[in-house]
Amino acid sequence: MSRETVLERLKRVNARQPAEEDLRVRVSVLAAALTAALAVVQQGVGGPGFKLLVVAGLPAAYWYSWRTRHRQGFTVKLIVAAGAILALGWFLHSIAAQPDGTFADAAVPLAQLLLLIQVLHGLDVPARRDLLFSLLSSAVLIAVAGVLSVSIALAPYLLVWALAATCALVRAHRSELSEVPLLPPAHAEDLTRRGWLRPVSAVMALILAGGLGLFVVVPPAGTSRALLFPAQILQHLPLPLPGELSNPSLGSGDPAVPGTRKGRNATASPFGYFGFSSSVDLAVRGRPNHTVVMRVRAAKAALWRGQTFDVWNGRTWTNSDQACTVRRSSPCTESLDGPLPIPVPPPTEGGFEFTHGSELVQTFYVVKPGPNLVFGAAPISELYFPDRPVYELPDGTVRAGVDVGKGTAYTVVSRPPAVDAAALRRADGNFHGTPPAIARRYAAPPVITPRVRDLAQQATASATTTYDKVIALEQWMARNTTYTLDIPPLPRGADPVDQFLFVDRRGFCEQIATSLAVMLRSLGVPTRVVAGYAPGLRNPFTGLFEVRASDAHLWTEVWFPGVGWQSFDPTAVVPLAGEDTGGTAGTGLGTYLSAELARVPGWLEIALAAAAALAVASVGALHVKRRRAKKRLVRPQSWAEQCLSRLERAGAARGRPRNDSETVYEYAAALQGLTDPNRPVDRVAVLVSRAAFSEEGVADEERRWVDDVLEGLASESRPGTTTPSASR
Amino acid sequence: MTLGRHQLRLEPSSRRALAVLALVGAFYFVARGSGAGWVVVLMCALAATVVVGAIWPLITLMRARVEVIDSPSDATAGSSVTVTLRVRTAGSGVRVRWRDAQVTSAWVAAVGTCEGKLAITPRRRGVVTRMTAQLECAGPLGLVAWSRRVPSVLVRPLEVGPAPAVVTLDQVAGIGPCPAEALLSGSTGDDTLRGIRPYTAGDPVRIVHWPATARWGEVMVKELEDLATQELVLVVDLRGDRDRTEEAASCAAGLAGAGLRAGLPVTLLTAEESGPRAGRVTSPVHIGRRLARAVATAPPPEASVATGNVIRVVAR
Repeated sequence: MSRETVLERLKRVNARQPAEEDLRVRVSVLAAALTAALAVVQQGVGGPGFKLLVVAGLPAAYWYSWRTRHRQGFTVKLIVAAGAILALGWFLHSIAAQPDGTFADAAVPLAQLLLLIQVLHGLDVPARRDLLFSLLSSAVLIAVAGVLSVSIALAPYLLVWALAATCALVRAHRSELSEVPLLPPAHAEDLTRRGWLRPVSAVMALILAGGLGLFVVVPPAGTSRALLFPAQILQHLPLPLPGELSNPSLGSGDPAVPGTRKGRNATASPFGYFGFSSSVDLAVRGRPNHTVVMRVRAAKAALWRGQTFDVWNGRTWTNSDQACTVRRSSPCTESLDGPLPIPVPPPTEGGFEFTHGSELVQTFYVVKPGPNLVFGAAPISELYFPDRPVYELPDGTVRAGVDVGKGTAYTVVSRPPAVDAAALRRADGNFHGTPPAIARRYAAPPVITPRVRDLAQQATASATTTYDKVIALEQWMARNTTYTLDIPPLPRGADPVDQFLFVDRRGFCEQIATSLAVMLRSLGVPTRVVAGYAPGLRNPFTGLFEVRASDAHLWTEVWFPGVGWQSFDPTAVVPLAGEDTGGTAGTGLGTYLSAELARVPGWLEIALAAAAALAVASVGALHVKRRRAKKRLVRPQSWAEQCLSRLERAGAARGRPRNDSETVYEYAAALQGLTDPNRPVDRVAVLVSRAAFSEEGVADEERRWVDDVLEGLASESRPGTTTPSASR
Repeated sequence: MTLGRHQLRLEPSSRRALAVLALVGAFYFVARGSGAGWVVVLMCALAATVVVGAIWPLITLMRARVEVIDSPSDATAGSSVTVTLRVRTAGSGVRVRWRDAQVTSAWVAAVGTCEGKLAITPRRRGVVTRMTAQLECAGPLGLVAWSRRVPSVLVRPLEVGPAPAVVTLDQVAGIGPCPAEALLSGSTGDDTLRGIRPYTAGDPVRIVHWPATARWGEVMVKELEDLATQELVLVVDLRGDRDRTEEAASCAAGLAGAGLRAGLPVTLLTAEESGPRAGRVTSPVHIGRRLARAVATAPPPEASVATGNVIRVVAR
């Protein structure tokens, strides 16, 4: 036997297969492909014409393929191949037109290419194998949509796609199964088992459960070096002054802007935070609402730093470099090239060699217009921003030269130093100590009441290192004060720190962070406060942290010799950069769901509960019905039993039912007198008894004969029917 | 791959699952590189699909039951007969066929509890008391296919006789294709003719002697020896190599059938598991049964000289 050549094998593998005749398979695959395509175009891929081409083209292509499934389709294959080559050429041209493009810039053209190929492939899917391939490519499309999506809005598409794909697989398998003869069901109720909705729903439930199980154990997305550095801006509104701080969400209430600007909202937005301004006044009470202001794609949680404040006047924090920025003078750095690397300040010289920790890539998707601060975990080492220039301040924070509106996206790469508690404790022994410039600016005696100073000294009496002092003060506040947003107004002339620590004993991040900073400064520790956002709640499905306006935050940074600035959040425990936080893709799933459920309106909650109860009741009722039906089932009769039943029916029809005490032989003898003598009923009884009780059994020919006799008896008992007498 | 005592095997059609698994692997790297949480969700869903697609048919197969609820008593090797089987499956449909050393059949599908007839073809002569069904299941997703072999006891033994060789009694004595030789009383041809007489009412047409009829101008018939004394005795000695055994059995069936068709009483002398057996056969089915039970491990009983025409069929 000759061996098959590669060419022959290729021909055999690619030989045209029998057409798939089950329309439901096609419809299911089309539904999956269309849902995936819609999910992609919903992410803003392509213009209206392209979207129309995809949405209308896919069903048209599948319809054409269904109509021509029995043809050889050579011409269609040529058209598909030529179309695919053209689409590839267009894709290459698109990405070549972006000389400094990144992977992120190629994402949209790639998505368009895949969509075009999906439509083209839809023209030639005659066989089951082609349809399943189309289903597989729709999985790639839905993954592309997943890469592009940053919100939970993809969930309905994913669910519909999963349902359609499951239907397609189940139907395709049923179609495959029907290629061989199907045994008839033993009972009528077995016909219901042949439906495909039950397996689809069962499989969907199992996949959901299994997928959820996997989801809580697999590592989260984006734990390695990112490939995508998205950066885009939808509306370009340059600021008049370079390095100027702008926050449209504060409207005319923005302390950074003297007076209302033309074209801006005069009133502050409910999601605006007064801390994103040139000062933070602790007498001002503002409470941003829960509006999602931005989403952050990052491998782990961090405090998203916006700007710092170094000057405390007893009531307000300001930044001594703020004036510098407004005046557009040095040391503001204007960088004209992008994506731009912003140099990381080198670690302070000394005996410690702290290595930078692992790279943390964060992509910020702005949902609501906010300050032009470029947020990011400290310190920023690279920035991918869609507009140039940006402005870097000496404290390492960055500002955009444009208003940062809805739809803006930028990527920040940070390299937090890999320090832990032990390293920070050792930092006090650094040979060079704190540089004088740092000490002058950040460790000068603050405006403070005597009892606050005394409290700082008492609380840290047993602490030997700076780190321990910080922890001691945090612990004292945790023990003796309460976090709340509901605090009374600050009395006129009162010191906010004193009021918080000794009078109200209640406060939020502004009071807590300020108290820590002021007390540390009173101990000679260089400290500043930082305004930014808390990490927000991680959406385990998108993998993004959803930062709400209410996550606006103020925390403290402490200088450590040889390390630099290290964040401490006395309001909440935030791990140090060098501490392993672990986590899986499903981490925080329960927290996220309970938080989302808490936001569900009351009427919807009741409706959902009612729907769930109805579903449970329906399933229960179905279960009970099935069990009852099962009980009603009788054991299937053997051939002998069936024959005896037929004999008894024939006798009953003649007015001679079988008595309970009668044997088959006796009953047959009795019947013989009532029937045609040519029908040997007694012989039937012999054969039936032999089939039931004898190992010898009955030959096929004899069975046929018995069946004929019984059929004849039954016919005789039916009025107006005559059949020839059976004879051996 | 074979798993455990259930003899479960992974079928080659499971490569669809490999394609999905490859996609899962690709999505893993995409998720790592892009940080897209949705891709992780999709990856988990696809991986769960493969797991469900692999475990569901496995459980279906392990719970599936096949039984033969009715079967014929007699069959001929190489010719199909119909058995009635009941397949119980829960979960999804399975494909069933009979496949072992003794019988084979085409695939049928069963969903839920099914009963139906299935044509099986015995591969060779013998008494079949149990058959092995091959069950295959890939449902409900068709991603991973498993198969399992399930033995099933027949409700009655299926006695598979050999396919009768096309042979006439004239072809005995080493002339024909059969490994048979006539013994003692010579052949069974024209030697049985004792004389010729005129036709009388009731004589069968087959004993008309046409040459004499032509010569005498009236219908003449052959006067034969008494049929009772013209018994055909077949000594079937199946000892020998396997191919020759089946050939000899087939030949014996052909000769016995020819004897019956010639109106001769036929006696078969065979060796069975229970010992030597000599007995008259009256129908092709009877011949089949006797030869089905004949074994090649023992010699048949010796034929008595007085019994009639003895033909010895040997598997050598």
